[in-house]
Amino acid sequence: MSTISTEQIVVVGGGPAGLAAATSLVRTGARVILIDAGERPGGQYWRHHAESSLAAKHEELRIIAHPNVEYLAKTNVWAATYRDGVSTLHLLIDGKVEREIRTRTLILATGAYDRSLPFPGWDLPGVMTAGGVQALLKGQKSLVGKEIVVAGTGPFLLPVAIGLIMAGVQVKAIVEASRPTAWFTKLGALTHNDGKLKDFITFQKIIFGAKVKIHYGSAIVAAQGSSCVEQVTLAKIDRKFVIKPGSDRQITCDALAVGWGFTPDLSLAVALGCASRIDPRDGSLVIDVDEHQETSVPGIYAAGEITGIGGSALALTEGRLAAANILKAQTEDLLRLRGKQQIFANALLDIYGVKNGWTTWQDEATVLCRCEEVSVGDLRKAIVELGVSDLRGAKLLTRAGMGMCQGRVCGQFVAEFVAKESGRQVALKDLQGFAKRPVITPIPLGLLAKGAER
Amino acid sequence: MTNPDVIVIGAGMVGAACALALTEAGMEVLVLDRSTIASGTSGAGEGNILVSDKEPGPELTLARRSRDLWFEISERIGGDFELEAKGSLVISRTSSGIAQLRHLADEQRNHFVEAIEVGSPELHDLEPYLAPEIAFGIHYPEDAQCQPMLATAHMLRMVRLAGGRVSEREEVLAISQAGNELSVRTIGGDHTAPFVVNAAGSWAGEVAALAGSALPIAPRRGFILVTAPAPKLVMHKVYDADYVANVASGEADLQSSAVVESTKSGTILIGASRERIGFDSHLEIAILRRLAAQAIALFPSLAKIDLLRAYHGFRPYAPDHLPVIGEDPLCPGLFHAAGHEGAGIGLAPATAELIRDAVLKKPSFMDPTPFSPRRFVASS
Amino acid sequence: MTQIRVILNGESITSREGQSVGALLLEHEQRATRTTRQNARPRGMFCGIGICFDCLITINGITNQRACVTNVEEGMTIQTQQGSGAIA
Repeated sequence: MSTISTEQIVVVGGGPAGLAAATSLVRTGARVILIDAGERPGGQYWRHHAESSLAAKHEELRIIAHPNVEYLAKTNVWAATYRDGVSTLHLLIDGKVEREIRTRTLILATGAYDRSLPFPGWDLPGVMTAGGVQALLKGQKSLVGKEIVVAGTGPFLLPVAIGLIMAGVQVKAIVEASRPTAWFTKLGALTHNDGKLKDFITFQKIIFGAKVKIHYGSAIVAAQGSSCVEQVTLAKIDRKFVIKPGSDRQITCDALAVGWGFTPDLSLAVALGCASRIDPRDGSLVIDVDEHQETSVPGIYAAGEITGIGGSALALTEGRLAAANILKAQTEDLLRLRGKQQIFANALLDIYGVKNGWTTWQDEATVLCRCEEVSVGDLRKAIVELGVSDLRGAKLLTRAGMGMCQGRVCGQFVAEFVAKESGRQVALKDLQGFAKRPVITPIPLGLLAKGAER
Repeated sequence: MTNPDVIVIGAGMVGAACALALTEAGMEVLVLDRSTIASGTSGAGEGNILVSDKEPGPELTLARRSRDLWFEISERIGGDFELEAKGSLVISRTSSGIAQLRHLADEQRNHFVEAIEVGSPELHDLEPYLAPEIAFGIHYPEDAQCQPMLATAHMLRMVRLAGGRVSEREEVLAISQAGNELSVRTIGGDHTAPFVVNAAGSWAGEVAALAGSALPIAPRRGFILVTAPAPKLVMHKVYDADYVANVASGEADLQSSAVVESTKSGTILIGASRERIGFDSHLEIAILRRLAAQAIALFPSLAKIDLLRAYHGFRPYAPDHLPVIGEDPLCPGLFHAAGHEGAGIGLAPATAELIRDAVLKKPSFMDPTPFSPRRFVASS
Repeated sequence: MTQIRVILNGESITSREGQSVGALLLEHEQRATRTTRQNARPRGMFCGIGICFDCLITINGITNQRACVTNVEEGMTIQTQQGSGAIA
């Protein structure tokens, strides 16, 4: 039998939120098991190469060496259950070994991944998420192409483009859906984080220096190529994201990095029964937490992007706050800091909002669900002929979201698409149904049959 | 729409089949569902259309008729719902199991079921990846499969095309006599019709209670594992002979025996566990492990294939494991079509035919008495 | 950095310890890791962080492995995949 440890706190997620929580906890002598899917700590934000010196700069990255920390790298929680105050996590380590861990105190910091929008050609090799392009660069020093267009929306696009420029890539264009004027309406809120503002200005200078043009109020609305992307279609879009007729032109490139913000990864929290809600700021499903970062399930805390997209600084604070509440330590300063950071995050989400005019970019053949190759036409047919009116119906009757990613990529936009076509609003139930993944990551049947090491 | 001739409660497979049969008989049908189409047990099964797991008796008669009707309906209404006569292969490894299986097959053959005994090496011609030590099986070529959510949706498409109505998210609150008709109160208002069909599956007992009657239908939980898309590894529906014994069992404890099959979408489905624990949705990892081990014992190559999803459904069963089909003795005009346990998809079209004939007071293809609700509900 | 020999589509090539299969493929100008099951369309890395399961590839005879999160190992055989791939 596995033992239940009341003093051992389990943190899932080795990004800023999880690392900050673990760091605060071990400082007071607590013992922590830190579970991380990555091969090195850092998550997406602090992703780094094996020879990187990043760990010298951040104490949090070095915490894995602390004697009170058991760090499990390359480890996925493939299933989880909660009963009578105890969370049981079923771990798959390096895809090879199973292990079971039980705890009464759990911090979930499972982060987020790039939010995608479908457009013709987005399934071509060479079209990648902005986060994916950066992960390759930061983690592998690998380049997806030589002439790259960076597109989508959000403050994240600039560092991605700069990383590529520094690596010698020709960035053919930066395409940002929002308009610079949006910044002026939010100046008050933006001053809550001077550091980020300064970064932003530095980024602009580098990009100007590299003679890369930023196309505001525009989007890449199609990609073309045979075996991989060869060119993309740039178009001006209005404030609702509808393409301005006649504004389109082609850009040749061999790769496209595209990102529309981020989607929180809730699978584990949902499997454990944590209540979720739709974040009105960006329409994402997020975990509901109280002001102590505790979820609806006693003893389970959530920090970072899964409680609402907010960036790394807010994630660090939330991680520390969760730890402080577990330790019954002072939280006043942290609460004040979190408040300021939330104002800044809200402003950014508002500036870089995704508007539902994107549903006009597709043709009937455009793939919506990449895994199961469900097209716009397939989905429309199910709506018109078979009376599909919600996300569950779309899933069962078209297989959208039934593939290997289990709807992580397409769930939210298929929900929006069905809602728009059937004249309904995206319901909380729609997104919750999609986030329910009893098998969180695939596990070989042979391992499953063998049972877990205790 | 004028008042319907019949109200069908439940837009699952059985409700859709009843709605289609009644529509095709010229009636105007209103289908009500408290959620959306195929959102209950119909959306949580494999789409079994089996004769192989039925012992001779009324259920086998129903199953054989239903199996033929499936192909007729597919021909008639079109729309691809992945209907396929893939055939089953039932295997056994033990001498007692083999003897039982032989005996069952003999009896089934007497009732016109095609059941072909297969030994090695023919067994492995039929299933090249079957564990090499397995040397006995019965091949049932008539067994078939469909995609039940699509089948439900396509039947309801025909109902709508003929002027019928399907109202989702309309929960029934009360059923009462109103003169010669029945009045159905829902969260959306009142509907009246001369006939009401209770096709609420696992929840049919609750619907019967709304009409002042009672049905002893309870849920039996079954887990199904779904693999990642895999190369074609399994050609038929392949199951262990223990499965037949489990289906007929009344024990509450967990039972499981491997049922393995490929689907058109490339995934492999692995069943089947059965537990009587009410509507409990907790994930039981132990059940997943057991199903995985049993499936690998049939197909060793599965060991390297990923489990992708696991889901459960609540199969509605009656104490004697026969479906409940026919008019309620306490509530004239209310017809039950429920309690099919794991066989609801397969038995839906013939069930619908019995319901149609009962409503129209016409003779049917078989004597429906064994399925009558009277076996549980004495008339007052 | 430690050099590693792997076999990519039957050809012996050199990789480095810590390199992901996805990065190795890019180094060899191989963008697609597989073709899709229905329409035989080429697919490669998309999310790059193990979420989207698009960069599926057969590694050591096991189908549907993610190129982006699988690191090379000495003697590894990597085979681009057609549809669901083949049974080892």
